[in-house]
Amino acid sequence: MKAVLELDSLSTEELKKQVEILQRRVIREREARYEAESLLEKKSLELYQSNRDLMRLNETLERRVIERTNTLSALIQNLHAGILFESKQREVLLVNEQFCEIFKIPAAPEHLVGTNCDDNLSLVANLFDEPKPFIETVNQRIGDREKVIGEIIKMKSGLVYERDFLPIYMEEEYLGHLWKYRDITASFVTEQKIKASEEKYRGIIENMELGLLEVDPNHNIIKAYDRFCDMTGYTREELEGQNANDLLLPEMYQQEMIKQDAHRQEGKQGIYEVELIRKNGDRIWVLISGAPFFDENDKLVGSIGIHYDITHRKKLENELRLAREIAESARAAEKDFLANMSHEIRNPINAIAGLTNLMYDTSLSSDQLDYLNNIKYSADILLGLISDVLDISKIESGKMELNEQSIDLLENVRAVVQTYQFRSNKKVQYKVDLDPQIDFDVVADPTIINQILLNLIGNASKFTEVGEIITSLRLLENSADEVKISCSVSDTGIGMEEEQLKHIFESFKQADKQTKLKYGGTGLGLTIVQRLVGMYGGSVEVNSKLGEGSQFSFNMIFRKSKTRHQEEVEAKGKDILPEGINHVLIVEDNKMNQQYLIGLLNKWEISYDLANHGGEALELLKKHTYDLVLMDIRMPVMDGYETTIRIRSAEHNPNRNIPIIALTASALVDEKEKAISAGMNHHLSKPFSPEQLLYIFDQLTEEDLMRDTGSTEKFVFSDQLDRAYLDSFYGEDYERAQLMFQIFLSNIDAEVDQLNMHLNSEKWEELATLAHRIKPNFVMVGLSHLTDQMVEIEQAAKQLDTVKAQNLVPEFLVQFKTNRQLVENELDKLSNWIN
Amino acid sequence: MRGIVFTELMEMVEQIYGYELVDELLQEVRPASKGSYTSVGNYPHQELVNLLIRLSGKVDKSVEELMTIYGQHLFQVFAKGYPAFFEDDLDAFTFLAGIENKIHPEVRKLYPDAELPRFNILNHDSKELIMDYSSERRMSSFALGLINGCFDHFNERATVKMDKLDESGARVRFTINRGA
Repeated sequence: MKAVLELDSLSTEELKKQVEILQRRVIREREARYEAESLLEKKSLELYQSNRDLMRLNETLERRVIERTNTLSALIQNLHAGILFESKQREVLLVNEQFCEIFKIPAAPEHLVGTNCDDNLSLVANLFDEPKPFIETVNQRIGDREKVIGEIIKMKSGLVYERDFLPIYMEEEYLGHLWKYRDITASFVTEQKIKASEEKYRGIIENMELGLLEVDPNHNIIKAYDRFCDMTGYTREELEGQNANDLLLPEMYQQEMIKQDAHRQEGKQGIYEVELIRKNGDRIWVLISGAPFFDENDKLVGSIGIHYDITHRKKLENELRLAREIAESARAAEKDFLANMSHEIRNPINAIAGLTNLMYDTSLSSDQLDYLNNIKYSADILLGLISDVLDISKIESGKMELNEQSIDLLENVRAVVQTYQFRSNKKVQYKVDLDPQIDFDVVADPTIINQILLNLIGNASKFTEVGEIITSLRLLENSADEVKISCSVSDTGIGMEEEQLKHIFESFKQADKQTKLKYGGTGLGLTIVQRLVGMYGGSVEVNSKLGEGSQFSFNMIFRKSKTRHQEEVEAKGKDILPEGINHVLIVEDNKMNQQYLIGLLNKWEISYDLANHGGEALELLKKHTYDLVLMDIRMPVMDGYETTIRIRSAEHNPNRNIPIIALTASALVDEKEKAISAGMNHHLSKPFSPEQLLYIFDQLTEEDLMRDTGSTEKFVFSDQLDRAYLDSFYGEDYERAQLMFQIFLSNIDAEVDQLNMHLNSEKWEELATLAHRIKPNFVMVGLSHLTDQMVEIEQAAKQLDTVKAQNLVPEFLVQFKTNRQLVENELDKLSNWIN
Repeated sequence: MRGIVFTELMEMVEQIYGYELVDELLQEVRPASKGSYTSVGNYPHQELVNLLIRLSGKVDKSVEELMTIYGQHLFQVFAKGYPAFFEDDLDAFTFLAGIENKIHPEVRKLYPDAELPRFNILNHDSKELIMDYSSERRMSSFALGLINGCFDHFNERATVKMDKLDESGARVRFTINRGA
């Protein structure tokens, strides 16, 4: 405007310049406009393109979101659980079909989105078992906004759901929460069934009178069942929470329980018997079967014990045990009786046999000889019977003693067979078939070998009327130390049926009754043979055919002897008399045995004195000197043991060390041992042959007959007594010893009588007290073993083990009788020595 | 350099001295863009410097003085043109202290190719603001003008001391104290 107004005043030149400026300005501005327009167009194109890019990006993102949402929603729809996702205002954000089904909502899930759940809560609550608590817990969960997993919700329909509540936060902001309802009806029902079934079986066990108890690993009672409560007398409340071991288990079983625990730690079951203390203090016996139980992680969480009351059974068991003990002792007594009776019978038979032998040496008419033969025959049969009975009882009680020596087996067999050849009628041939390879001696007990052969050959001859009996020996194996030899005895006798063969080795079984009547015998022969062969590692086998004959065969294993056997003892003969034995003392009460011995000694021209019992013997021994004593064991007045003890312990007795030969009617090993331990030198079992006695004589002459009789300054207590104890107890104070021995002897009888009275009147407590009081008395006089016995009696009486006490006291009384004598003798010796 | 800097300079010269001077400048400098500047365009920095040097010879003011005056003027233009940047700031100190971290990032969003100076705040309390300027364009006087314009805009008073930190003037320290 200004430029226009000023135009008038301007010169043409000026005007022209102004126009040029304006022209330039217009050009500049037009160009600026063009440039701006083109820039703007470029910008807008750029904008358009970036807008289009943005739109595309948006579309992609949207599609992705939709895809994700669809996936998620499909996932939720298909989940095997009812899902509801609510906003914090309790508006439905997401819900699935299952949820609608659970809550019986008729609408489709998508139609529920946006509706408020609070409005419908009380409506759906009625579907549940407990509507009110249902509403309360829902409100509580929403209020707490804390995760709660695995709530069990039961519906009226019977369905059971497990409900999870999950609050959902986006960073700090609370978005809402998710409900998840999972149908666990099946597993819940199963679980219930399992529980019910468990209960059922527990119930059954309870009804079976088995008391159940569940404890944790520290024995604290988790659950006590009714039957267990009844057993122990406690109520369930009194038991649960208590420590089972502390409350119920007696101290003595705690250790056992620890053992069982270790067992259970390994997951093993255990069955054991213990006593339990009832509430009232009574004890009951129970059988416990304990088994561990584990949680789902295999961790030991406790154990269940099944208790069965066995108090009654235990009582019965105890009674049965007592009964068995009584029966066993009765059986033992029976055996003893049998053995004793056999001895008693053998004594007179021995006399008959012995005297018969002597009678053959007298001049006899032919009738007398015939009678004598018959007597001998009968006596032999009787002896055989008695020997069999004794042998079998020896073998059965394990008291058979092997007396092994080096023997020539072939010679033994020949000798035995020969004895039969002499007896034989001519219809039966006794033959031997011996392996010449057996050219060495073996170590064996000749008595046993002979007994085996005698039995088998004797048996064969019994059943063989005509033909031959062959005894054969074969060498089977031969090593440096041992040999195996087969032996057989075959006959051509009546033979046996197969049925009979099965039983022939059983005691007292014979072929049959007819056989027994016809052939006699005890039926023990083969049993004895079988046992004896067994001692040499063999077993008898039999082959037999009825009417054709039998063969008994067996193998035996022997050690080989280092030296070749020398002359047979029997070969010494009657004429070779022992040197150094000129004057003998016979101590024997049995008149027939006396006659047998006197006959033999007369025959051998040996002088003798005769004592009818130990008392007489002692008198004679004081006055005379003998070369040896033949001592019977069982005699009136004083028996052989006691007599021997007295002889051995008497001071200033010239016969103190005289050889004494025990003549026992018993072949038992312990009788022999008793004889030797009483101080006798040798032992001869009746009946014995003249040769056997001669053999003993012979052995004696080889020994140094005289023993050192010198005495020292010190008094030497009898070795029958506990010398070591006496020496240490009295030292050299023999006067005190004398005094103690005197006191013992003057008091002990009354005490022992009292002991016996207590036993008879069954006053067990008094018996125990008395035994306790007097037990030291015995050891002080050197009878330590009696003190030991007294200790046993005391214990038996205390434990009311009446059977044991009833055995022990009589045993003691027997021992006491002999030992009392010992003490008396010792006192005499002691008194003499002091004087 | 942003076109607005050129268009506003031409506008200011026209307002003060008339279009004849503007025409004279463009005729003499003959910039490559021929002087048809538009605010949406982008022009070489050297053109602005050449224009200012030529202007300095005509109006008897140094280039620095001109830059300061122009900066002070331009701030008012910015304040009107970009009110969004002035919404939150209560005073000049806070605004200035926030240039590097608040204003410049926004500028870069709009003009990714913009070349901006850097401001490093050494002290900022109620009374004093110390900030170091650095730019290869060495336009600290322009910055000073903008600072003055800022105080004008907030209707505040302050003394602004400017110290060169190197010979070239690429690095300069502004020490600003409140009050007249």
